[in-house]
Amino acid sequence: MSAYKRLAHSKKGMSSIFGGLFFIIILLMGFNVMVWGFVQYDAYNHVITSMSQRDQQAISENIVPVNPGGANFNNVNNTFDIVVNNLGGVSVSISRIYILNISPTNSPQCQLTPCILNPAPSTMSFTGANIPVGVINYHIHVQGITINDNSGYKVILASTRGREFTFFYPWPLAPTTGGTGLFVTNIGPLAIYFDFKSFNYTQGTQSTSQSAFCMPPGNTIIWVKISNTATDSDVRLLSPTMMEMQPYSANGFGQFVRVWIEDNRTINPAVTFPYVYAPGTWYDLSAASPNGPTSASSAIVKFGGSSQNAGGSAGLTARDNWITFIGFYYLYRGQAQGETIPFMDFQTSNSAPNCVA
Amino acid sequence: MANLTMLVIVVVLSSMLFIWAVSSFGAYQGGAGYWFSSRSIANQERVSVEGAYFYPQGSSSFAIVYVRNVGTIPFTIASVYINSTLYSGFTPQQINVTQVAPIGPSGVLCMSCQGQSFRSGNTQTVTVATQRGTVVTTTWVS
Repeated sequence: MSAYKRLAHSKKGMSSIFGGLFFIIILLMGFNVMVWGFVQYDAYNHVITSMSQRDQQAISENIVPVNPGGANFNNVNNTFDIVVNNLGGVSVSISRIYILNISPTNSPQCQLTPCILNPAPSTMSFTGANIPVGVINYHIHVQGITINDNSGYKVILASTRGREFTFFYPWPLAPTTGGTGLFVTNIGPLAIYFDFKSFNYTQGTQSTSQSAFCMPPGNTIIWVKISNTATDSDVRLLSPTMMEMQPYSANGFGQFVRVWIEDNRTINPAVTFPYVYAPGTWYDLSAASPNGPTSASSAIVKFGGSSQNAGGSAGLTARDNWITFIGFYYLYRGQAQGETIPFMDFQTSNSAPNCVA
Repeated sequence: MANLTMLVIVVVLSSMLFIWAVSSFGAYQGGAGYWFSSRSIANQERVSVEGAYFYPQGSSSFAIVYVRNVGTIPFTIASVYINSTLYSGFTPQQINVTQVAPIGPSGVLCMSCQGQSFRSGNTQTVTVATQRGTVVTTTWVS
């Protein structure tokens, strides 16, 4: 009998064979379900990853409107530009601009409900919607509306990724910093400091300066701290730089006390050096760094000269409050320029340094 | 005879096991498949509430809420809540990909009709929910 016939007539082990086949089939079905699960989970993860990437790109958008927000206003053609910087990591497409008049002064437009600007063409529209990554001072051209009518506008730039960037026009004024003790006047390239520590005086033979807002009457050297805030040129003070002070109680003109700048080596009325406009003795304020003025771009200027390029001291012998002007005359970018710091006030009093009364 | 009995027993038990396995795997695949597909689709929804503007008109007050679809599939807004109050009578509104639309009948939501008061400077919370369960809550100043 052949082996095949023996197997066909054999009844032993058939149940094991059937059981094994069923077991293998069920095992394969289990594997199939596992593979199906992997495929489904992979597809799900793919969606999660791609949408997460999309969200990350949306988060990476960072459009920063540039002060004053609007530029190139043309009230005849009803156009203006919105100036922005793209400081984010991706390019941004602006899909719509909402303009809401939140402080109607000269125009009722866009009050209550916003004016809506869509990409051109439409009555109110804009062009230049695609803002490249890293671009500075990018102009989005708006047509069909202007917002320089002294009303207060809230402008919202909506991006295609669902982000909103808002600014106000006119640009809000920065809050004063008086609470920090910093008093500074910025005119032209110079910053002049009038805080309690920077505006000082010496009298007699004092070698240490004191705050000049309250000082006794007498001959005085006045110390003023200044800085060059310009980054493109140094500033050299010229000889005509001077202070002019008038007592409030004086009647009529002719009561002024005028003093000119002196050399930096001047210490007090007993030790004065005339100002010499020459290398090594002039006040030469280096250009500021991009982070602001450095020590080389700052100086303490002494005032007390009886005339240009002369020594001396200010004869503040009267007891009074003094209205003060400081005229800075300087060389900036090779050009002689000047500026006047107005309306500084200090007091000479016998009770100094206590002027509280 | 004993062999035949064993064979019958094995076939019966295996058949029962097979039926159980098929039904179990089928149930698992049905549930998991639905979960994967529904969550995958819902995950592609991105709702952006671009702006909400509130204004009085006579004794009534209204709100305009602009919703943009920044996702990859269309979605349908199923309900809107203003200050945690369901806007009753809201008709589901579909917004296609990249489209923006003011929601509500005629693009305006009547706040006073829903018992909502308007006062300039107040904080207003707007919640938008889609049919797939995406919920976006934003806060605005009226």
